[in-house]
Amino acid sequence: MTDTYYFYIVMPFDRPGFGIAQDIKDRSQKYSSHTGKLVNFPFIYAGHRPHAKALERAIKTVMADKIWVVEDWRTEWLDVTLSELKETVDTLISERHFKLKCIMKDYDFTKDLSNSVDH
Amino acid sequence: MNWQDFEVPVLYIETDNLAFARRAFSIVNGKGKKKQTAYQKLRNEVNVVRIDGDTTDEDEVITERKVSIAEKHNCYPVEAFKYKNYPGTFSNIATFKTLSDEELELACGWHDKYFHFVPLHVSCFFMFRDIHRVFKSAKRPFTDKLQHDMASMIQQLFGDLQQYQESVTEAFRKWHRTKYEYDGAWNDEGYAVALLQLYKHFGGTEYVPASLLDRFDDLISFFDPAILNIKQFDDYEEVVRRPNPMKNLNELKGGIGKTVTLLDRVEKLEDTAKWRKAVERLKNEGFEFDLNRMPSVAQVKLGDILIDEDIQRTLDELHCSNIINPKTFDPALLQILVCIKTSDGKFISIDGQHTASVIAGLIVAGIIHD
Repeated sequence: MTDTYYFYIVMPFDRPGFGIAQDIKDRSQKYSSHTGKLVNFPFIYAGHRPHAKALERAIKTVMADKIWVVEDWRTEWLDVTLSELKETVDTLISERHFKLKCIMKDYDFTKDLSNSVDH
Repeated sequence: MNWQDFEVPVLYIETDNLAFARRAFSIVNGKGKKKQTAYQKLRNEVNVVRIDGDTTDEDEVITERKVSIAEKHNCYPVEAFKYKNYPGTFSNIATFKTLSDEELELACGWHDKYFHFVPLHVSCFFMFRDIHRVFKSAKRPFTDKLQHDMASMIQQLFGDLQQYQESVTEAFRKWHRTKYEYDGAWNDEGYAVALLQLYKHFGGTEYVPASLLDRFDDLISFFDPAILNIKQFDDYEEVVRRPNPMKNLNELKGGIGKTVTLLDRVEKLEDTAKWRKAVERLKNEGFEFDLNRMPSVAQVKLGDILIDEDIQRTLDELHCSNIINPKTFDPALLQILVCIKTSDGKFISIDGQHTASVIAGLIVAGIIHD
């Protein structure tokens, strides 16, 4: 079992979301199955599994008031732009010293992760 | 004085329907009643000391002192649903209160020094309480170096304490299932024990009492391989300290000094979709608010009040004895009785039988007299 874990930003429509996964290809396929189109993951980060989980939780905390709420129902999507979310992610990684690196842009499961590079 | 003739205020509803009384009893004593939270109790204790300057109750003084220690280290008790995302906040009041002043100094000081950017996770209280007590018994110092190394491990291996809690409880679950072949309940001692076992696993050199290491044998081998495969944890790296909004939001700093009219509450309700939907449902079901069904208040003689033992609980004599604790007993705080009034003029108690019993008992005992 690989120790690498992924944190991703996902944007199937006009609001970004985020999540963590061990198998990023499988996750990408599931998003595409649900939405009926190839879903774009604008940014993928890879690294230490507990730090990926801690990052995910940290975003939920610092962006708690940015969650897209529909009639008191809190969705899993954010009411911010992609660049705002990306900036928050990068700031958290940098300031809290999470061992995670952005390895790929604009991923979907048809693309090969092994072509990834640092961004 | 004859207790039967002593009048008490009673809130009553006129009905002969005992099913209504039974249902009402379960509502006023259960699901319909919003209980005071641990935070609200703590806030009142602190405000009695801070706002009213009343230091006659030792427990309130102790609570206020503990809150002061936490605040000194930028840590703030909060209501679970409010401000919980701000740095330094915690809502597990019950555990907070179990720590001594010295333990709180350690736990809150450590959090503020190393993890000032996140809410204070309750595992911090458990860890520092347990570690401090064992080191004290062993008569050995809990060194700054060990505290620093613990922060390095939490940051470098897990990110923060909340992630450590997730990892250690998962390891514990696997350990328990392997060792005992069933899922056991989490043990809070595991926070300190597992972290210090990991510390030794990674070659930590500071002294750790054996009694903190020999529990839950082999627990750490059930941690995520992503952690165990690391050869050595790196040193703690400083995190930028940002202004903490809780410094201004802290409601315990002399209270919030704000009173509002009910208009404020009405506006809050109208801003809530759930409220608007609930009102809509009432309208759709043709609900009519019958003003005649609103409760009335009267002075009723204790001798005219009946207790239906099929409705109310049996008398809890210990509860009655606790009510008249001289430290807290005050006639001004006695509860208003709730009854139904039947068409033949009987008052049947729904709520407050213990209050009524205490008053009658105190008259018989000669404490209440003309």
